[in-house]
Amino acid sequence: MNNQEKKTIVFSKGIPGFEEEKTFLFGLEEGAPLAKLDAVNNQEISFVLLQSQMFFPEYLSEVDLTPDEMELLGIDTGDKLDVWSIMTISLSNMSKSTVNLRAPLLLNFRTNKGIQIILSDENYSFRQQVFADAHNASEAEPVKEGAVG
Amino acid sequence: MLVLSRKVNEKIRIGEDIEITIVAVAGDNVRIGIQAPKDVKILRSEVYEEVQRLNREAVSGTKLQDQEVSDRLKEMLGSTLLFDSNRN
Repeated sequence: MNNQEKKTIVFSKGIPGFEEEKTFLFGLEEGAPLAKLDAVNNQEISFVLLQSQMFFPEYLSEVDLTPDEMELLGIDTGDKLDVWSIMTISLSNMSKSTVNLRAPLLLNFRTNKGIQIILSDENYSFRQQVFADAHNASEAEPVKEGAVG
Repeated sequence: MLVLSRKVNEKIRIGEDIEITIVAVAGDNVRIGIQAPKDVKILRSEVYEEVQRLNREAVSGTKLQDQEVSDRLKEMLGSTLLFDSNRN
């Protein structure tokens, strides 16, 4: 299946925290703006990515890249970058999962190169709640005795 | 590491086009002004460490029950969504 096809992406500087891993496999998930990014040489290293622009239309419509960053992505005129954000999934309560908007991944599928950049705009959160109702109690509170009637 | 002493309003020049100014000192708090070309990335160092920490945390969250997790995520993404649209 075409959607399931994985693409090799080279992060020549690695990804912060995993600087030694340079080569990753990027695979789109079907039916959702999600993708997996797996380190080729270490099965233990796997990220879930969210295409945050789908939910945040104005997010990163424009970004200033340094010459270094442009070189790492092998950017040429006309290249269009993919923007993905790393999700931190809370296994105990998935509705509390967050996404890192401050440090997006930029992928250039023409050159198959990627980087994780850190935005200087402090308004973007490292831990943006993904699910709108995350701050509401997701598990119904038991009704207190005497509260009814 | 080169260590220099500077007073408030004194400056340090690095290379051709980077200039650092000590703007104010209050207790153990130092305000620093930086003038640099736009293509020089300036970040508080702990920001990089925060990204490292967060990435490691993100990886440990995905180790378990991969397929189950992504199925559940899809379901949740499909229904509840999402960010406050009034954020700006």
